[in-house]
Amino acid sequence: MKLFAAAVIVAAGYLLGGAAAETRRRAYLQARGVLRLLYSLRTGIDYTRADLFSVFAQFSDPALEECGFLGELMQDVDAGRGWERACGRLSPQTPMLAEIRSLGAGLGMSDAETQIALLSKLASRLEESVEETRRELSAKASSYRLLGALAGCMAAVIIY
Amino acid sequence: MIKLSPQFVSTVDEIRLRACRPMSLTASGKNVFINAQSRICAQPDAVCATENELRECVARLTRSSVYAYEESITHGFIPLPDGSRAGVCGETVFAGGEIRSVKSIDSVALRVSRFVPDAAAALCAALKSRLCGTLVYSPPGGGKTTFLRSAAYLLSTGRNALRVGIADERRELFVPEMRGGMIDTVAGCPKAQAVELLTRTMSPQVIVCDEIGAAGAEELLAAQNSGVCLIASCHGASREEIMRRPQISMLVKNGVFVQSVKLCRGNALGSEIIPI
Repeated sequence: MKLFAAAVIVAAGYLLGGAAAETRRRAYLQARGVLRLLYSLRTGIDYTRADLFSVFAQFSDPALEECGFLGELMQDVDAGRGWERACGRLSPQTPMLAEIRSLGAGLGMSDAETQIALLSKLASRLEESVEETRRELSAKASSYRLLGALAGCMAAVIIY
Repeated sequence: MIKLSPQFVSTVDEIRLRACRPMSLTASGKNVFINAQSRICAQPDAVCATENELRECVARLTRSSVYAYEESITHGFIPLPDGSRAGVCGETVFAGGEIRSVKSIDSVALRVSRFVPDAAAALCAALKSRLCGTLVYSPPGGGKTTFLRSAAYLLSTGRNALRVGIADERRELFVPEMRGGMIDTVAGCPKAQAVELLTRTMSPQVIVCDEIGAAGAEELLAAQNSGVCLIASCHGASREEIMRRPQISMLVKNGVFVQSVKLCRGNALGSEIIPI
């Protein structure tokens, strides 16, 4: 019976480790989606002066659709306010979440030059952060599960 | 939220919002203030728009994309899809002899677009029998754009329909209701270039343009010399007043305009054709 309970604890630890890895992966995919959206916005503003909602409507990204970010963006007539609300749909572990959220304050409400500069600055910083997260994720994804299982083993030893 | 009676709403020509200052309406040519109970009131009791409300208004007008309207905002307006326009002003960035941008928009004037198909019926009947350059004038808010829309529509439809070109610099002259007519439109570029482009590429019989001023008088003269009849408008309360402007006077002396239409606004849009 004790052996069975210990196995359950180890398995739970393994699964929790997996879930943590999945959360990290989802946050990475969402940040990558936001980065792609920033590029689309920059291109739309720079080349065609397309309005924000046209860019939002034409943009698609599975990770941002899944978390409801894109849907939330289209809900408000004020794109800045919509952006801030949409950021609430992103994973709290999304890299640079506070900076991404703060973009909403000036989104669309200034001249093209300022908008492009704002988007470029955030995009280049987010790009680095996303790349770093990607490297970290590929290196540590399997270790999350392993760490979970080890933590389960330790818990089982301490309990029994 | 202010709720006004539909009868009153139908007479409203303009809504003016000013940051932290009283909101006003222009109805049947009169400026009125509205209180929180949706009643006409004196200025001190009037509802004021907050800065946030004004920001939201601009966000709605521009679909949250001010940068897409940069050019028109520096000229003091935001064009709307239905042919109306919102006048805007505020703190500008002035450099190199021109307004580069508007830093903050403090006032918004929403003009209600109207299409009165028969407003220019008398003028169009006369023009269809004998084409000649016509200058339409009235003080600001006198219905010049409404009159020009009607003229373009009536000339381009019905018996003896003519090819009409519209030089629509501010994207407010052509409205969807005019789609039935033989109308070609050049929108969003200066009148002078639009008139030249229309003359060169669409061979119109009549060109209609709004609010001619100092810029582009030479090009308008060139268009007339190519045999195209021009119908244009300008601000002014009387013939003497408009003739004091050198550009208008030059166009009249060169035969671009042979007659004028003076608009008078009562309950309906009235007009009087006068040889110039």
